[in-house]
Amino acid sequence: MIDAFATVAELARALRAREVSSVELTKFFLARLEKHGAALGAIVTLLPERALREAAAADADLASGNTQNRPLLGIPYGVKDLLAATGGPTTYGAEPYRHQVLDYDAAVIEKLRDGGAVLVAKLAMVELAGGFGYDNADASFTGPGRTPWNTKFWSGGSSSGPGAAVAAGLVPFAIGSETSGSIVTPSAFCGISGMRPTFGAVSRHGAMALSWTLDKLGPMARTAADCNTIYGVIAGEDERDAATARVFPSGHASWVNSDVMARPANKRTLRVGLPKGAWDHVQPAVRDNFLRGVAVLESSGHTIAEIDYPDFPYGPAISVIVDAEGASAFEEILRDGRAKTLRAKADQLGGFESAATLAIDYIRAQRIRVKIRRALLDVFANVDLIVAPTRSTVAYPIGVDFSEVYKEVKSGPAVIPSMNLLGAPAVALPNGFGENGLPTSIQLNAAPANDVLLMNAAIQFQLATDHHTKHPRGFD
Amino acid sequence: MSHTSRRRFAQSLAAAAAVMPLTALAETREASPAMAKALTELVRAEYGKHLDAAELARIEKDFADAAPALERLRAFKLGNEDSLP
Repeated sequence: MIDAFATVAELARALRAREVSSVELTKFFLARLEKHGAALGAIVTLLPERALREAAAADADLASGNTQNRPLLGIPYGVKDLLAATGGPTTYGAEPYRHQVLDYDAAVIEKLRDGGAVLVAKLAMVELAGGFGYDNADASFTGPGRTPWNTKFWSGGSSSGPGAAVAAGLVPFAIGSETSGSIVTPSAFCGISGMRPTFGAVSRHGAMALSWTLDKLGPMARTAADCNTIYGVIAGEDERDAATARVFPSGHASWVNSDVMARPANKRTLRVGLPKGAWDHVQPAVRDNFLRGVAVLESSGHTIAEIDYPDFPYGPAISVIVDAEGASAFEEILRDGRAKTLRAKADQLGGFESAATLAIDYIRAQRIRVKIRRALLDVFANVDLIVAPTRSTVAYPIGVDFSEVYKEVKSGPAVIPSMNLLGAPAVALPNGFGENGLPTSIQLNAAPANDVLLMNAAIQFQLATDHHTKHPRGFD
Repeated sequence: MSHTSRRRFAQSLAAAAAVMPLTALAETREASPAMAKALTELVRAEYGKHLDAAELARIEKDFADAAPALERLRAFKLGNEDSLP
């Protein structure tokens, strides 16, 4: 009997032990996607023909012993529907691209395919990855994504389908994308583990562009260990994405020279910095669960210290950058008016507003970004990790504008936008539950190029906790 | 991008504008409606055939609402030595 909530590592062991075949796993997860996917607003397109072909090939490799350095061989997975893939449309979650066919595989899918993983589905997402400024959960032609913990609430964005599908056991793992929060937020709202790699660590060839200077791709899975395994498969230099040349092959993020980068990944005792104010005005359960998580880090031998977080206009800077680059990326649907067919009213108009971003403001934001990077790297000179609640609240209710709920809650330092401006890696880990039975989450951030150090710390956290082993009811 | 979109940024950072020097704040308040109107005219000139009057009015309001956040960005001191990445 197949466990829908088995980890990638457990499934890989079962495949190698011939307890199950890849074709059986693939049929099992395709059936679960079929049964639960639409109700969660989690799927765009199922790919049964492609998946069964890849699964049969994986089974042949398993039988012949062609398994070395292929930890994902035979494992089914899904991708956010902004990655080009043969076998179905690539919709960007947006009406104007609903019938777009890109007849090639994105670099990430190439790597997963070569590693023997089995693509079963293109998963739902907020239209255009939220680039036009959506203000409620109903912002995709597939409807709102729903967290399986309580389907009256949002699965988060913009990687809404990957979050919900992994949490409900519809796929063992998925690939999401983040420009500013789009992996860590749905990971938090769906109670799964999600990794945002260093900017440039994973090729974006074949991925929808929203912001060339901010977009990242990363894994979303049940555990940090699974994320680390998937990251090992998808990371690497690719001449088709110039950003990867900044990180590889030297192993250092050459775009900012600093000795805080690429610390020894096996460093055991880490200095953990907690930004002052990060938990003062969050929801009570978010605060309590966060402080319990900090205690776990401390009991693991790490040193904990509160830190002053540099004061910069993080929000306005990242907003202007996304506005300007996003308006350029989607200029075609502004010019021909198709932007008006987007689902959310805010998105229908937001792109036109973005297109009026002044060049001097965009350049100013990028120049401020240089100062932001220096200031944050100075912080990382004294700490190995910056740790905070991933979100200040649990998931938002569906059917209500974001601005109309949780008004009593105030965010602390803008950790998510600041770390994205830096290009730093992060991981979101479940750390308990809050209002309405919804999960809460803790985020760990490291200096750029310290992805493995970061993931080692995350794996250690999950060895000491069991939040990642909890699963929503109704999806067994 | 997360749901904390630019318009939500604008709302959350409106409070930050309160710590700006009073003179700067006063200038912002006077400049915002004019800037919002000018930017809306730009949108109308480029994309007006796709937008009706109500939508243009909404766009103008959005520009006005976003002005404090933008002013915070513009208030950040940069010198000639501060370069692009």
